[in-house]
Amino acid sequence: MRGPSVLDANSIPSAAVSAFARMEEVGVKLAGVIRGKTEGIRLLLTALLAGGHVLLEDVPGTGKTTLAKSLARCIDGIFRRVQFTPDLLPADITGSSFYNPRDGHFEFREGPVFANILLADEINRTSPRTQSALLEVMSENQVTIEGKRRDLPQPFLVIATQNPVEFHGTYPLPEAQLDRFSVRIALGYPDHASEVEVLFDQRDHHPFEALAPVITCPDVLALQARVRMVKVDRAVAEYIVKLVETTRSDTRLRLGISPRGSLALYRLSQAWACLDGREFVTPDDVRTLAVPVLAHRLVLDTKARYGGVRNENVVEEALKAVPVPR
Amino acid sequence: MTSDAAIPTLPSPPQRLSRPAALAALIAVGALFSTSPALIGLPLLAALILASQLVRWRLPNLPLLIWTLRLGLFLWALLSSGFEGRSLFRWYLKSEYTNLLGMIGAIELTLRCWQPMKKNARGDVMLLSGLVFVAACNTFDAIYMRWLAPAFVIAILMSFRDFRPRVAPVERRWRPRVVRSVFLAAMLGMGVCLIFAVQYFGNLVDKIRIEPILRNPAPSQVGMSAPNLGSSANPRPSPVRILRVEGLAGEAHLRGASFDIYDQGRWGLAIERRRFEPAGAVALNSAGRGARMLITRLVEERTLIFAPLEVAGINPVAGDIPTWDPQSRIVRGANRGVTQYQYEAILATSKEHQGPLCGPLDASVRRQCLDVPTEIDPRVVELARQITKGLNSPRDKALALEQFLQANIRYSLEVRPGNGDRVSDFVLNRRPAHCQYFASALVIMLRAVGVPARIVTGYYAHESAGDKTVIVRQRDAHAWTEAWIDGTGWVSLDATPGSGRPDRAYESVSSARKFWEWLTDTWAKVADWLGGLGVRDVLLALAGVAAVAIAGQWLRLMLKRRRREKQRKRDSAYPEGELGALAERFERLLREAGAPLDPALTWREQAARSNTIDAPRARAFLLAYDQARFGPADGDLSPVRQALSQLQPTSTPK
Repeated sequence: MRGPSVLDANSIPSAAVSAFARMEEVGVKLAGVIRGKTEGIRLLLTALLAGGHVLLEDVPGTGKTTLAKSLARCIDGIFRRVQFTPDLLPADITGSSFYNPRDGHFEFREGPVFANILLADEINRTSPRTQSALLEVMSENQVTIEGKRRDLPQPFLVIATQNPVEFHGTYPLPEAQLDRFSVRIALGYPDHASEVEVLFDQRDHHPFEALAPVITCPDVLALQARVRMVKVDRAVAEYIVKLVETTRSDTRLRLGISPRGSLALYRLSQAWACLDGREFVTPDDVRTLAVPVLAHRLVLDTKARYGGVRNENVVEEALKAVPVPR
Repeated sequence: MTSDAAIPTLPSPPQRLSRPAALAALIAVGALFSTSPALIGLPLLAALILASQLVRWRLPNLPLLIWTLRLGLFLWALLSSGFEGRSLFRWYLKSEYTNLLGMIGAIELTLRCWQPMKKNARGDVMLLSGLVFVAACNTFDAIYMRWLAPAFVIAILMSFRDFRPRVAPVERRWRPRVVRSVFLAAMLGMGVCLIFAVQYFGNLVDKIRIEPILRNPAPSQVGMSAPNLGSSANPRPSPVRILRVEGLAGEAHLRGASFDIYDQGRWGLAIERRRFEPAGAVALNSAGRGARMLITRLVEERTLIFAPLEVAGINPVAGDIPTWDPQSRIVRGANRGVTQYQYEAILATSKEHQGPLCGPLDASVRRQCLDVPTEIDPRVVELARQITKGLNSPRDKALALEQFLQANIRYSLEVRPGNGDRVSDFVLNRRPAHCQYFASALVIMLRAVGVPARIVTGYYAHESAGDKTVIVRQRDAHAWTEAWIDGTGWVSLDATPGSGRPDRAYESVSSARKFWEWLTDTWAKVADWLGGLGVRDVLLALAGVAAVAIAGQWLRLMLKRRRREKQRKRDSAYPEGELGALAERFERLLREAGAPLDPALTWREQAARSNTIDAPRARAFLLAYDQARFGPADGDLSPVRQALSQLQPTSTPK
């Protein structure tokens, strides 16, 4: 995955260098737990560094939960998991006040959103009302309950999973809410060799149990700040905007990519470059991230959808059409 | 760095036939049509195959619909082919039914082209077009198969490329401008050569142009050949038009040559007694005041002039003087090379007029025209005398004999001669035969009763084509008799039943042929209207226009490309200054290494698709370049320069 690093000690403070190195170690550890999914892990770390949220879309049993739990343990963060069901209420995830009869006061009990890593499992199984409560939390990074504002712990990363094969009794996320996820990752089945390794890994215990924290949450926050400093040349920024504009003029789409999408691509490209050990973004970064970051935001019109066009195709075609800055 | 190797995606299976496979199918269908234009639906099928190349839409994958279509079309082909029930078990022996098989194959081929491609569809389509072509090959006299067969084989060979395993699409390699220019120049040169070839071999090209459409080209000089009894007449004679006669209201015998010596079933001229008299235009161009017939000769390589017996004069429109032989009464027009030769036949004002073609009957000719050859069975002479018993005037005798033959012997194209002399056998055994037998028999019988007679070959004009216009086709070739009636002169007698009109024996002219004839006539009219421009002049003019158009298009393309290249440079945001120069140098290097120069690919992706570039050094260069281009500016380009200079010398192909 990684090319040779061009970092030298002068350009980045040594503390940051060591932080990035540890981030890399997180990636290695995660790869030891979730076999054969380095690309997905890297995207997940990119989203974490960019301060975005992740939509994991895959069939059951491919390691979505394990991945989220392992990441939480690696960054020494609080991990919470909510299984979304049709009867789940907004208060069930944000938390609510209880009457404490002993001292006669209302006492606030934090919901599962008060975590660093929140795994929202099968988010499309719950009602739109609960979905929007979660999505609001995701964009605001805070919860307002009974008029009182409560900040969430930082970093805050929501990993929402969606099962793409079942549709009965689900409430598919509306486009406006899909837009709030920075990146969509499809893990897919591991390849043959990796799956054999998975079997042997779990011979006596789950490799997840052996994980120890590698980096702390404040470190991650520092890295997030560092990511924002990564240089994006004007030509690269224009390339991002041209890609996005191409989707807006595509006749097969009901909805192109919003500025929120181009912002996400910008931010994730920075994080990607950072993970690569660079302090500048190249067009290659943008091209690598374009499909995972942009595809889920597009809304195809009915004719194109039934004509077999996939969101990914549209983004790939945009990539083939827009000239790359040299 | 991150995407050194682009993941190739397998292309989806193609929805249409490849170009060579479609070309092969078209050639097969075209060959079948040229062999058998009776299968009139074939041009439609060819158009449908062509359209399937241009249209994306395909038949929905419903077996019921496709089978209904298939069966319906097969039934249509069967019914429209006039399949005879009684020959059901021997159909494979007849070439026209092989064509029917080809037609069914062509229908299936067209259906396949309009269905979504299945896994083995390409092989099936090739097999089907092969079958159709084989069906077309059943007629070996079709000269154009010499061109169609190699073309078909080439197309089939080219379509074998379809069987290559499908791989990820390789970017089209950039073709250097020089190569393209050379290619273009070569194409232009070939076009010029073609034009000159058309100029020098105009006749040949005309023939090639016509022959794929017109079946059974007319054998040359049929009107001249002397009748030779014994052979069956061609059951499918050529429907090629020979003459167009304007000013002829009814039907007419247009004579070409006459023969008076019968020998062993053959007719011929008595060469030793031929007298050539220098009687030219004066005798022929008599300024008669009778009705005028405008006769247009529609075929080349035929100098014979055809005219009715009663003609008073012949007046070529072009003004040349026809040669003529008063002895054989053969008139020859201008030399070959003229597509349409026109002459006026001036008819005598009265039926009794004996024009120059009739000629005087001097003693020697009379002797010759009264000669009954010794091989004739005496019973024929006896029969003739018996028929004319009690009749005194030669006129009555002639009519009686004519009527006897018309009434008593059946007409047939097919002749199965018996033993002995042909004419005697024909008369005595009442053997069904064709016009030459009737004419010969009448001549012999007339001579037997003392009426001088001779046989004439020519055309029997009867196919009306509008107001006072008659078309004469090759299959209207006919033979009849001329008898000398003392006091009247030569008269035409036709003993063939129904005047030999072969209407029932021959199928009517196909509408395709009529359309083609209409086209050629229209073309002739247009050429006439243009002031006598020949085909060559028009072709030259068209070639000139095409050359100008091609040059204009080429210029436009060049300008467009230049504009696009500039736009590309602007769009792809090349850096300024020295870095830009380094970028161009690297791009040139990539081009030399065979990388696809797609502006929508990054250099890394381009370099990954070249297998001659030194990959680690290219990576090193790109790292340095990216640092200088997109990284925080420090203005130091030396690492980039160094990386590029290390890359250059090792960029030779491994």
